[in-house]
Amino acid sequence: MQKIKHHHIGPQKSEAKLSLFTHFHLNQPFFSLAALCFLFFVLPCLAAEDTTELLGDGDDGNRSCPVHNIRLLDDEGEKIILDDDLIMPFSLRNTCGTCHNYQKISSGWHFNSADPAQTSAGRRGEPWVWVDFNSRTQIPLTQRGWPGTYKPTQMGLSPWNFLLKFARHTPGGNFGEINDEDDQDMLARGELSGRLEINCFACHHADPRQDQSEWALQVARQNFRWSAAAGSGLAQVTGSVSSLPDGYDIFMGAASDDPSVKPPKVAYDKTRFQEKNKVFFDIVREVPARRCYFCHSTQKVSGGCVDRENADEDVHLKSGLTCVDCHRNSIDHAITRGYEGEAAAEKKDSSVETFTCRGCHIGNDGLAGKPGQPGRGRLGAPVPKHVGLPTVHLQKISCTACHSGPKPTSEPAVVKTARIHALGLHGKHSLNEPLPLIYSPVFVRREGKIEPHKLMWPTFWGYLNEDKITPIPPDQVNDFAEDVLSEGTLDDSATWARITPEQITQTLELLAPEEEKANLGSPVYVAGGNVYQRDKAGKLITIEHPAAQPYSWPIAHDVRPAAQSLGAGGCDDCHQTDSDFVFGQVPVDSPLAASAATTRPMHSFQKLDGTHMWAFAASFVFRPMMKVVGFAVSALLLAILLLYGLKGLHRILSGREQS
Amino acid sequence: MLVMVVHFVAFRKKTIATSTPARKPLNKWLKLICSLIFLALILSFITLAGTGFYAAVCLDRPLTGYPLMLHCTAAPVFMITLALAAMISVHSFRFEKGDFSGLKRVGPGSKIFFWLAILAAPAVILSIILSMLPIFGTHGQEFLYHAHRYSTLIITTAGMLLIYLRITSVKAKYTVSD
Repeated sequence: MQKIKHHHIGPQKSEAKLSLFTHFHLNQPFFSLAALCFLFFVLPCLAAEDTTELLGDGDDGNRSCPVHNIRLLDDEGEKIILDDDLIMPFSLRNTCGTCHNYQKISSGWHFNSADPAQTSAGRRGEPWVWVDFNSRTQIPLTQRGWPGTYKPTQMGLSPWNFLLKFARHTPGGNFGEINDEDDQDMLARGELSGRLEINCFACHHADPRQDQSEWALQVARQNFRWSAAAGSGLAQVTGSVSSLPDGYDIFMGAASDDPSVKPPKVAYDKTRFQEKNKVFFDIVREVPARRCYFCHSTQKVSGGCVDRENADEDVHLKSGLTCVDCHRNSIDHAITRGYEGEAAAEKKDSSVETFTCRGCHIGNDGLAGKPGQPGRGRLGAPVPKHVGLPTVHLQKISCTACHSGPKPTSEPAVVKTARIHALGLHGKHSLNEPLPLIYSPVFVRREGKIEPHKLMWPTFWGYLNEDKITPIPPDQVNDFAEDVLSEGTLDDSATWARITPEQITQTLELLAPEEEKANLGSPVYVAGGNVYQRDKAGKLITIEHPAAQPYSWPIAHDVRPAAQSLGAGGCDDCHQTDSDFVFGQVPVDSPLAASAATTRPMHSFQKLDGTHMWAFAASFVFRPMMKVVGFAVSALLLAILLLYGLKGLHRILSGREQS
Repeated sequence: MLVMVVHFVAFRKKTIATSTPARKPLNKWLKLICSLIFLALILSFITLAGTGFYAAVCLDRPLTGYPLMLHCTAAPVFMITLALAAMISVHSFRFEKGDFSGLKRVGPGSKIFFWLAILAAPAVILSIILSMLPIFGTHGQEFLYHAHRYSTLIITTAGMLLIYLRITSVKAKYTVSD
């Protein structure tokens, strides 16, 4: 287990205080008592999180955003002056941190995944996916510990290697500011590359020159210290830390005879520097949607309407809202994710429940009447009538099932996401990975409600020990079996290089641990919902295991207009014997050729009985007839009541007259 | 159920007055058809009540799954047989002078429960049929759902008591008071 030491952001006040005490005679009773008091009462306060509210934190009541003509500071806290001999890139931690509490911000959802102890993981979400073509691996990773995912550290990914693989689509922070004593690469290269600080500009810089693709390129070059400056559009950065040998002095900038050694250099746009070396940045409180899109885009690659000109944006954005109108946060950057139960799951204030679909459109019963709680219709949200929809649907199905994501078809669409497939990197640095295949929407039952998910099938090698499968890093698999696995044909209809059962058998044999490591377990291959292992005779068999189950995460966007929701066309949208919602077929993605055409029915993910759903859907044919019969019978009974009622009344009245 | 038990114990032996005129005996085929209608009515009624109250009382949640399908299958049978049974029986169940003095072939209790059931039936039927139409929103659907629940409670109670009284009055026909 790697030890991760968390870098304490801020001055090491506790250490300074302790050193003073070494001058005192601690064997003196008075000083011993004082020392104990200090240890128990003062130290914890000093070591506690710095919650000081700085100039730019809080709310002075004015809704306009201050104009940011600011002086730039480098990562040593020195001012950036263009006349200096060595010009360094600006550090947003020190520049923005002058007015905004950086430590408080770093505890936010976008920056805390490396230290999940800071917050609850909450509802599972989109993972990182490590794809290795040769070993036929695609495995979901996250440090948050969501069920069905694996931690990068479990896969042998050090914080340094994680950054090089995935930091392209992050706003910085996370592993970029972690000190891992066991990470040799970080120790060797960290001084050269600098820290990958939180890139405030990734969200809050409205200038159209803000280029996250450039930022990602600099990260890939290990130019962590330079990445924010390069991405801001204020500077151009050349060279790369990756070309520098270990031990190179980045601050002295010593010239090298080796042409391949190109230390990074930053060249600022001097025309943008004002007198006193201040620079104007178009900083906004309300993050524009295009900033969010760099990491949170989804591209449909199959299933119709795949071209941008035919794809529609979320109806909320088209109506004038922005992402941050719902996904809000205060200075702590604990951004609202917007799902029901978030307050309890992530230990947030109950007011976050007002930012769910129900909170804006219908109102939260639990918060009704509480002072300051907005009711339904928030931000102009239309209040749905849901005419003709029995209320059981609202209990068993989430709002997003009918209103969000691609409209269901006979097979869910294959989609790509910015973070998993590295979308949005332009020019020759474009990656646009083909794998993993992610299917959407797949309707999955989670916590009693059916909701739309994106879904992928984990594929990886591992060791099965008792009931637990521990994944093997792809690098290790390739070390053992590269020759065996490198044979394969690329199927034109897929992106996997197909693997044969013989290759699996041979690889499992090669991966079998030696006697002294027998406690690792037996090697297995997880693919296509199955676990493959060798039996005692050496033959390949399949077993069932939860690790082979697909990993899925709920989606909420893009929201379709009401007229395009499920049910807008009547009950038949879902209650039909061939409805896509219930009977759609979800492909099982597997590198095995034999499993290429395997599918699973949608209702299996909803934990519904397919036979019952088919019979229930078939009965809907008779509903129009039943409505006619119902009205006719009711009319007849009311006629009987009326007739005999009037007759009875007549007899009563005529009886009275006679008497 | 308690009321039926108490009533049965208290009024086991009854005399039956013969003031109502003898009815013309029915054609055997008509008799058979009427019997089948009443049998279908009772069976569908039992199915509907059984599935409905099972979900409400035992599961404490809305009816779903195969019991719901059974409920929906029995419903049209119940509706049609109820209408036919009502047409067949309505004349016998009309209130008459002296209904509450002495015992009749069809006692006043039966008539009260008959008309109560006929009154509740349109509410039972319409509350569920109207929910299938795109007319009512969420609040309306909730109202219709509760209306269906409470009207079925009324019709079930009235129906059970009616059946009970009819059975006991048939038994009493063969009892001669001393």
